[in-house]
Amino acid sequence: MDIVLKIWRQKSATDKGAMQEYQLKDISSDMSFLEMLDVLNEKLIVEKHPDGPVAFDSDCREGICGTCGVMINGRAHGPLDKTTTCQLHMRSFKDKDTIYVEPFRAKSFSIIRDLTVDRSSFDKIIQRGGYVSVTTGGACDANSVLVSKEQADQAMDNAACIGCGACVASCKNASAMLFTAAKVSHLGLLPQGQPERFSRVDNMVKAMVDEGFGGCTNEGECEAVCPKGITLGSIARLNRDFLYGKIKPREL
Amino acid sequence: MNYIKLTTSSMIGEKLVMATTGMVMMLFLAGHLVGNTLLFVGREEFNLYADFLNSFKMVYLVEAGLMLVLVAHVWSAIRLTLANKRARPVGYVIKRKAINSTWMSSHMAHTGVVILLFLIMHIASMKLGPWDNEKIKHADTLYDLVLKLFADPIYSGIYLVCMILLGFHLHHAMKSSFITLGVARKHRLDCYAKASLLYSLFISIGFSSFPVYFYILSII
Repeated sequence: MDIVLKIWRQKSATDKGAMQEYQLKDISSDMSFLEMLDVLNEKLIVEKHPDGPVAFDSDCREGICGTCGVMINGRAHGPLDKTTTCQLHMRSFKDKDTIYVEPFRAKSFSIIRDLTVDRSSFDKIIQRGGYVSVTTGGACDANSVLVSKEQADQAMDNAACIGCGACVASCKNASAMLFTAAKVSHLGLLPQGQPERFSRVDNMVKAMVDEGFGGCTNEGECEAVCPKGITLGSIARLNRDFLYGKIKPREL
Repeated sequence: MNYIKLTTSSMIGEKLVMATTGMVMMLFLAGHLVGNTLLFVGREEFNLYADFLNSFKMVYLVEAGLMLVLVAHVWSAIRLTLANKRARPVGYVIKRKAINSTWMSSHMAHTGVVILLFLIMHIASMKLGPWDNEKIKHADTLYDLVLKLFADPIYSGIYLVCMILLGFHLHHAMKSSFITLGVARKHRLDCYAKASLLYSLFISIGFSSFPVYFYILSII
């Protein structure tokens, strides 16, 4: 299949950047989206194109690491539901299609080059509470702490978040609520996460504001593009824990 | 809970203010609509109801409370909207595809401004209108004032459009409040969306019925 690509090219964080058009011929419909970009890059290198190859993030290419992620025709990770960019294949497009590729945009996600963005703001949110404190020493028996099936399932569903940033990219307010809510729910649902449950929410929410993310307006654009199917229910859970943490009586 | 600390420390605190004040106003709206249906019953009944409400000294306290709630709602809305705009200084070349969001949910600020302007008009004409002013004919009752105002097609038209936009605002507002307040559970999100739709239809159609009914009454 033949396609026309319009890709955002930006040399550095301070460069202005613009959309550039590239023509690709004889692309196999079995190629993944990133393989198609690889083909383009090979072509640009061989042709010694003045723009140079397109910089984009990728790592596992199995849809489990959260490294890849671009806006494809105005939708994060492209047209398929619950699919990362690397797991999107060219069969999802038609011959002679024009595909617009842009980086994820947010004040907190500064562009490094072309389609690569700096998502270390997510790491900073994690550093402020996305962990459980564990005492050192011999590991206890895995089954010594009982977890109900329902809670384990829900925690697992939220643990599926790969931190790709599609939620931020597709939110009209560039809010990181879905990401933070997934982390808060994942840990807050398990017994090991209880000691820091309310301070975790408080600290991570503060980190979200410090990093310059917007607020949530509960429209659900994030859950629509989330490759791991995290829902607004997690956001409600974060809000619930946040509020309860503020009004609960002090224990000591 | 320290109000200032809560709202300035995080956006969720501010959103909690939006949700609670919104809920209070939604409760008030429902009561207001039910009371106003007496307009359909007749002049005597409606005026009796209006006099009854005004006979309480507490009514001023309630009005002041509602005004405070409105101010808090608008203040938080302005602060949140500005912060949200700052979060994405450079937009996309291709417009983001709307999947779950609707025109109603993404234009809350716009419909909110219209409703605020409507409220000013509404309070100025209905509440502080000539019926309350003793210098102007005291015989003019609230019922007659309503009749007179709605006989004006421009007033009725503006009223009608605002009530439709109010319905749009409430449609997202209620559902969103349930999520912000953390009441909504994952498996019940659809129920809250439906409840919110029903409530917004109830309010929007309910309040729209007054200008439509009285305007038709005035021309026949």
